[in-house]
Amino acid sequence: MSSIVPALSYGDSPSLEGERLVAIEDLSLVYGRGKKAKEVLSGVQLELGEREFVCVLGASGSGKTSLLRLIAGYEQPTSGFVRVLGKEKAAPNSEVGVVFQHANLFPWLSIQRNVEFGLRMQGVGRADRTMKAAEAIRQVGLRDAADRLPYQLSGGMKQRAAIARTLAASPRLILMDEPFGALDAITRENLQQQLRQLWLASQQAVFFITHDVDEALLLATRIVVLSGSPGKVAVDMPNPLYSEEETAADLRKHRDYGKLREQLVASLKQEAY
Amino acid sequence: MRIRSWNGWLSLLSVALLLALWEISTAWGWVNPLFVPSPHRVWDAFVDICREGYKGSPLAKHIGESLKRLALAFVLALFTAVPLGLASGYSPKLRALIDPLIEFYRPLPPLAYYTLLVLWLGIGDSSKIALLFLAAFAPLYIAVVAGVARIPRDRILAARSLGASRGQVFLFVIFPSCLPDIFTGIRTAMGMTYTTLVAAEMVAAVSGMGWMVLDASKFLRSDVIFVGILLMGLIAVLLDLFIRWLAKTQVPWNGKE
Repeated sequence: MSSIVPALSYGDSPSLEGERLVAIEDLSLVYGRGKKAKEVLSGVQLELGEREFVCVLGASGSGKTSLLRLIAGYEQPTSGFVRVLGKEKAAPNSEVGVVFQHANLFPWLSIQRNVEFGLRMQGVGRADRTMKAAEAIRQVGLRDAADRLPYQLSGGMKQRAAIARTLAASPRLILMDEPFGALDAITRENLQQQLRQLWLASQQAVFFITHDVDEALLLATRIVVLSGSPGKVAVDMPNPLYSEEETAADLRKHRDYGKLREQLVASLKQEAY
Repeated sequence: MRIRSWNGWLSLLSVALLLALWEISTAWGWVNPLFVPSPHRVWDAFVDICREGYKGSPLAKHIGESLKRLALAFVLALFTAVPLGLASGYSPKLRALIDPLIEFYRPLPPLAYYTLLVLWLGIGDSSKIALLFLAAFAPLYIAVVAGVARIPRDRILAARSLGASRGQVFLFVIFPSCLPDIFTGIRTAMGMTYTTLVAAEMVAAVSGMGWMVLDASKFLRSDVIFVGILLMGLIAVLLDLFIRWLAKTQVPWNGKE
């Protein structure tokens, strides 16, 4: 008996997979068939561990959104492996949370009910889910808007509600697809700061897609650059500027900031056309 | 706000002008009062019908009979067309099965197959309700199928990523997403059904507003015809206002996403 149980749990034991929430090997993705076939990603290798905040930088057309959709289970690779939380070809599920570029809230539900949605689907009791949702709403600073419908909120508030909705479902891994891309500069900076605070408190694994180099330097523990078409990993490095204290303003004054920024922008442009 | 209230006055003005024209043309003898009764004769007929009823039945009964047929058929259509439309929108196979039937009967003039329904179900209420049901079913079904097709794919994916099963997605995402389209369908279907109702009552009935107008024409009671037509119009406007009010209170987010 004792020899069988460990053997069975070997594959998805959290202690073994704990360091690698996502493992991508030799991944390629082709849309369409025959003459219309277009290769979007080619030979991508990537890993994501616990407590990492990985920012994937890429110009438009580099396949960065496709990469996120593969991890979320929205698409399947043409070849290669995408292993998420120890599982291959997993359907979308509540362990992998997604924040979209457009808040994508359910327009008929109040903010409170939107944030409760995941818990409700998972069968969490009313009292418990009300409490958990209220906490997530408080964390993103939307307490006063909890009873409003999404259309009554500004773009930035909607995006904060979307983040709260994903947090409340307590995923093990959060995927974010340019969540601040459609916001104005001031709102974007506020939300970046807020996300950073949230992440510092929770240290939850985040896979964050952006085309904004400054955003990546501010938020990431590790930076990945996708470039070319089909997209390949051009850079994969720890963020040398990552530190728990610095704010966006301090960060920009760092003596290496300008040089790093230029390097990343250059690698973004490389092969891209 | 100012412009809107101006527009309201303009609408009122056009109605008043028409009424004035009607009054003048009858008072000055431009038209034969046998065919166009004067407004006050129509009003008298209305008061008379309200008090005495028409051909032995009170006015409320004629209106009630018509609305009862309408309501029964409509509820029946709502409870069949909406679930079926949602399911067809979700499953292309089911849609392939159902669509040809709908596409064939939808453009047919309802009165063409009414004769068949009367043959099968008799001249009573059941044939009328079946007819109205068919008239309401197609526009509702089509609106709902279109509604499902318009749901953003990312909304469904977001629900799945929050842990919703396929069944939960259907109930908690697809259905509420289609509510605005369901209301649009209800408005279209209501128009279709109402037109069909009056026509059906004119073909075969012993009560109802359509019958009242047809019966009055046999006796050249143009005042009663006018009363009937005005009432029908008024009821149609009220029904439409009611549905619009429902839509506004039930789906306030519509068009503001």
